[in-house]
Amino acid sequence: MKKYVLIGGSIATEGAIEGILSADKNADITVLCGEKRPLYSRPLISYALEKKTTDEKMYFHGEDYYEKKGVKAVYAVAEKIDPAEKVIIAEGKEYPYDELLVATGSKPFVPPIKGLESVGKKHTFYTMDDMLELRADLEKGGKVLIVGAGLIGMKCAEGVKEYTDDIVIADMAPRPLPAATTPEAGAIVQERLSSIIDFRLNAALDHFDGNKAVFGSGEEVTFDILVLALGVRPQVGLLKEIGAEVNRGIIVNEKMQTNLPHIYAAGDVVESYEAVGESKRLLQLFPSAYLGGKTAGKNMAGEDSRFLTDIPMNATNLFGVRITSAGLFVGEKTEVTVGEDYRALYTEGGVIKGFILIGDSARAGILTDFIRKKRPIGDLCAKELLAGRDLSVYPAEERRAALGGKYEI
Amino acid sequence: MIDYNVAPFEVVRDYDKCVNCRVCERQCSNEVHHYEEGFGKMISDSAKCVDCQRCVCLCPTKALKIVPNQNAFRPNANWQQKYLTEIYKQAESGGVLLSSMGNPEPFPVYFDKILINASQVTNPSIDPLREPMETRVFLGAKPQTIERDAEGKIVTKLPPRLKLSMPVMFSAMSYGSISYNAHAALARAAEALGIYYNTGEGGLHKDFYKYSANTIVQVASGRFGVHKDYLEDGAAIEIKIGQGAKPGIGGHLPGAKIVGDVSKTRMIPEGSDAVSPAPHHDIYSIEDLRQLVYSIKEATEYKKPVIVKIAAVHNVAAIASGIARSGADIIAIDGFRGGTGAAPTRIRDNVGIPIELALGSVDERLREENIRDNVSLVVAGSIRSSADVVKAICLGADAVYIGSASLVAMGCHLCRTCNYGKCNWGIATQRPDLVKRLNPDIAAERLINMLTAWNHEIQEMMGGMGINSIEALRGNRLMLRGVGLNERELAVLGIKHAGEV
Amino acid sequence: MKKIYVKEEWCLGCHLCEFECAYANSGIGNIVLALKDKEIDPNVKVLSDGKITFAVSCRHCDEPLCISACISGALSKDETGAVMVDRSKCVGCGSCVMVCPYGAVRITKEGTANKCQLCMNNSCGEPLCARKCPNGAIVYEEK
Repeated sequence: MKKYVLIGGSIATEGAIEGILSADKNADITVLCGEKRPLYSRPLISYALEKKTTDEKMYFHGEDYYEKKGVKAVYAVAEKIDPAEKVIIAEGKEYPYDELLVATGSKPFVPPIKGLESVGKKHTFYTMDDMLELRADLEKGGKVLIVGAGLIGMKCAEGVKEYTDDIVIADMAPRPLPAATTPEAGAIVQERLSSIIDFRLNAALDHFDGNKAVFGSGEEVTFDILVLALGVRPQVGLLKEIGAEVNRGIIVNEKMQTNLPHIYAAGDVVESYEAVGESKRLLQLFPSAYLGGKTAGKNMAGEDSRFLTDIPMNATNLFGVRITSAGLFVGEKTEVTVGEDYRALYTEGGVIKGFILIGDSARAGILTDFIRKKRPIGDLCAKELLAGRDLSVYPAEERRAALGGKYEI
Repeated sequence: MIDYNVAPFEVVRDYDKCVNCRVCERQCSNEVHHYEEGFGKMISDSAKCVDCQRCVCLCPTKALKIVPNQNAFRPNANWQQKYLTEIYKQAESGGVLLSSMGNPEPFPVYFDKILINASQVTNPSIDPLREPMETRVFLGAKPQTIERDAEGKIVTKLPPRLKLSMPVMFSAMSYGSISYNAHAALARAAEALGIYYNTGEGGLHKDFYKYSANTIVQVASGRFGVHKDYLEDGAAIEIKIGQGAKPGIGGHLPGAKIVGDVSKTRMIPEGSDAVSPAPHHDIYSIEDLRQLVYSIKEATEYKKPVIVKIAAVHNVAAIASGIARSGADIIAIDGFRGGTGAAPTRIRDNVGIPIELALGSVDERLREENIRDNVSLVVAGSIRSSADVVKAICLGADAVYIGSASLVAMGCHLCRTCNYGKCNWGIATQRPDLVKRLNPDIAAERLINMLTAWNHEIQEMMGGMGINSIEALRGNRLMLRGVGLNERELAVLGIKHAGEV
Repeated sequence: MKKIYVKEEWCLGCHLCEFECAYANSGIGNIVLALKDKEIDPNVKVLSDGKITFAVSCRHCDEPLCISACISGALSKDETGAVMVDRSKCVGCGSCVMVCPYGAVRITKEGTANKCQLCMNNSCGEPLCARKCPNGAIVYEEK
């Protein structure tokens, strides 16, 4: 019986378990959960804060997921990989493997800002523990400063709103969600949310002084609780130290293999093939982690599987403003406004490269499929595609096969 | 101009039940219903309704019914309302009135005045669930004697025959008068049941050549679609002299329906009216008919039976006698109730005689002349149920053709507006969006179901009479009694009155 | 696994499937009470390319993209292989809508995801759209 060891107990590992079991029903799988919790969904932490879900439901496949799958869960931090002996050392014990997956994910990046140590209640917002600690402070009341207006900072704000209206979000960038949106879309989001959120943009942090943040412009913001949401860094340590090819993340091929034999990697920790830009990069997205993990799992179990359709994707609902985007915002831009909704489509070489929709996102998956399959847009009108789309935009044979018979995704 | 037209029907909608799903609007080719946006309700224009019942059947909450328009002229047993409205139409248009399907007028229906016997004490009933019941029939000439060799094998050369699993076949309905999908359903059902269907005078679409073992190809006066492969591909060839719905005249399919495959199959240009002449212009006497019968037999190497189809008219017995001597293997007689895609109303309603009387007189005449075995008799002209089948066989038929009944099985509601080409059931139309409505998989299954049921009922009725094969039922007039019939009618039918032993 | 397949050559665009779906999922036994004066939002939608019509509902994919993207575990496969929605878990993020290549899943006005569940989540037991389609354009079968 093949021994599979998966380091990390989050989404990539979940995918890997599904992938391994689909090809090797009697697999011997061990998961080393450094976070020392059963499998839970990290994106749900803001919803739990917001009381849109419960703490129990964050264990989104049940707290007994590993038992149900026949997987051995070890709540220990992996400290070292010995590729020669093919064992993992974790908190004093050795775990031998035939195939290894490293899914150690990322960690919030905390830059060495002057005076940070003088801040009383400071938080990052990434894990369930982070959320529980933040909630404990929020329950005592007070004003909140969130540094970082990216997706994590904004979702955190949504949760914080349950406790206080007194929220300031600051970012160096000129608009919120700088990475996830285009300048036009970001501006619209900012405009829609400015009555709910106090934005301080183009604001670079200079230093902290107790419960005061001072920005490069001289502006000062006082707060009771600080949340730093300045991005995440992949936890590449375990593999870097044994000579794996590492850039910002661990480099993997389409089979999610590292350059070291029998060692795979998936999830937030990898730089993997991204199909729109046709290059390797950090994606750090939920579906990428799951599908990448599943691909790794299948290959680990001996079935040839390649992940060639990974693209950047984002779907969220921020204070009632729905933002849906996929692909890259490159090439020729077509914009429409439908009611209050802003929509943009990006095409290049007759193929859709990306899109962003503010507001109604009905059937957006059809546009995503065009990007993923690099299907030529042909005679279809970009403006009409943005206004609304359905299966009739697919070639007739594809549609007939999809609705009437077997169809490959 | 004054509009004299009175809408024959009224659409009644129960607004408490109507949920504005608009299925009625989407499915009515006559555009009777529409959703009035401003008022938020469905409005119906009853004047356009032909009572095809499509909307009634499809409405998910059964909110619709179609009733006769109660708007009534002053009652008059002689000048019934229809005579008045027909004159209004002719005064307006100057045209010949056209109608579809069979004669709806209240002439006597003899099948409904004939009763079937059952066994009681003597000659007991047979239980069809336990005893073998033979419903197979063979159509064709029967040899006068059978000679066997030393081993008992038949050495007499048997004439070509059609083998039917039950004494029912699908009647001639041309491709053009009915849709491609309707033909597909009939062909498939005929194959599945082990019976035959008839191309009618529209030729045979090449997609249906694969059903040739179950196809009777028709050669009508217009000779549409008749070519060498057509004759080769039939299991039998039917020369159509006449049709029950319009005896004495030919067929007519308006140019608007001669499009695409209909035009190709008929071998005439698109848009040209397909008018079949009244006589076959090469048949002006019984000797000419014999010549054509033998030409066809020569062309098909005597391998296929030849059927001659005539309408039931006054001297049908003499005509049948002539045909029985002409070399034809099967005579098909179509009574005055027979259906049609379009016929002049006056001819459909006033010309021809009932099939029951025609059958009685033809069977009797052929027996008298000792030529009954020269031919098989197939009758048509409103066979509506398995009871009609049994009665027809008792009166002397070998088998029956069903036309209207098969269309009804496929969804037809006898609204009798086939001639407009907007059949909501996808049967009597060539419009692709309407033809779609007749899914041949579903329609074929319905035909198979109906005839399976009829076959079972025939077996039950036969068993009840103590008879276990169609052969023993054929011409067995003693199994029938008339009720409410006068002396002459009983004599023509050759049956006794109920109560007589 | 039995799934819904659409034979677009038989679709008449009558939209009865939509109303029957809305009825099946209404939780109300009488069809008039279920549909009267209601704006329906069924799990099957009849769409058109201008020339023909076809009904679109969840394909219950063998490898569902929606499940790979769902952050709350609301979407899952049951023992028969059908993709089911537990709306009480859904947080309305819209990730499933973003990935479904058929546009078969949607966020309803209640703010959570919904889609065809083969009538296994209501008292019909078997898909009502297939049973009620008047022309055999929607079938429920194994392929």
